[in-house]
Amino acid sequence: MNEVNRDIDELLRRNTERQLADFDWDRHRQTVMHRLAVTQARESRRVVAVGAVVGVAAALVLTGVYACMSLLRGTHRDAIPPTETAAVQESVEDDLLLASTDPTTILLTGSMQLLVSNDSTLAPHSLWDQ
Amino acid sequence: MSDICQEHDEIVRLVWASRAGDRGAFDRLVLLHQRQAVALALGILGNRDDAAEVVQEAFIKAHLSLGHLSEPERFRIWLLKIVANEAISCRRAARRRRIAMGLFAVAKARKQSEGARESPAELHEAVERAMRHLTDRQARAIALFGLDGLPHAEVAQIMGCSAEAVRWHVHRARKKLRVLLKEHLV
Repeated sequence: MNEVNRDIDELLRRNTERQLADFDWDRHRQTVMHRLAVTQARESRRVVAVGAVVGVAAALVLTGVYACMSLLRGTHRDAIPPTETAAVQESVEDDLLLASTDPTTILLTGSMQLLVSNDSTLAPHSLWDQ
Repeated sequence: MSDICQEHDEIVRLVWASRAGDRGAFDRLVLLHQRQAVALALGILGNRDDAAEVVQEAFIKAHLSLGHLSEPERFRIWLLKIVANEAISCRRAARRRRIAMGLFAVAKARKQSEGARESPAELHEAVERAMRHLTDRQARAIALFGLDGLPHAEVAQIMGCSAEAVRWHVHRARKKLRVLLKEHLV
């Protein structure tokens, strides 16, 4: 069995040696380095192109956002003219004035006094009983 | 022993230099490993031109992924793994092409009509055809086994399986090749 295995291994080795006998190793190495240079150049061009596309896209998005914000600010300003804003403000101030003179509101306003005691026999709730 | 250590240290140094963008260092790495890489690809594919193409592609991929190589001292195993994977991809693509073109039957008929004469061209055509009958794992195992100076433990690491599994794949591959190449066995 080992003899036959050796024959097979030997045949494969012979085939490899024959095929590589006149192989130009220097040229192969140079081809690798040339292909590497081409690939790297292509890669760096791709990075630059992607960067440019991303930059343009970001500029477009920013412009769009700015335009939208300007538009929204413009419509909001149009919705309530300045004169009406003043009128609303006056109305709110009048309401506050009325509220402060309202007897119910006055009744609710008052002062609270805290009683402090050092007597330890007094439970906290007993302060309220005094 | 000290030569092996020196070469080992040189490879580690070259890998670090290549990572830093030193093209000369990578050129030296190619010089040191191209023979083993081409022999491996040739062992899997059985065709020199395809093997050279595969190895060039593998070196480019290796250069682009050098940053992912966590252990520079394992550069050889890592590179041979890339070469083997590329060669297997090439095999699969060639198989798909052959099936698509319907040439599989034609090649089989031509093989049957051939005699026992052996010229270098006939031998490598016969080996190339015989290798197509192996599974991907068998082709990978027998090609790695045939490489000079590659310990069995490293073959197992490259294949990602145990040494016993490698031996089993090699055994199956030899058995098939013995039948397919019996006319060429002396």
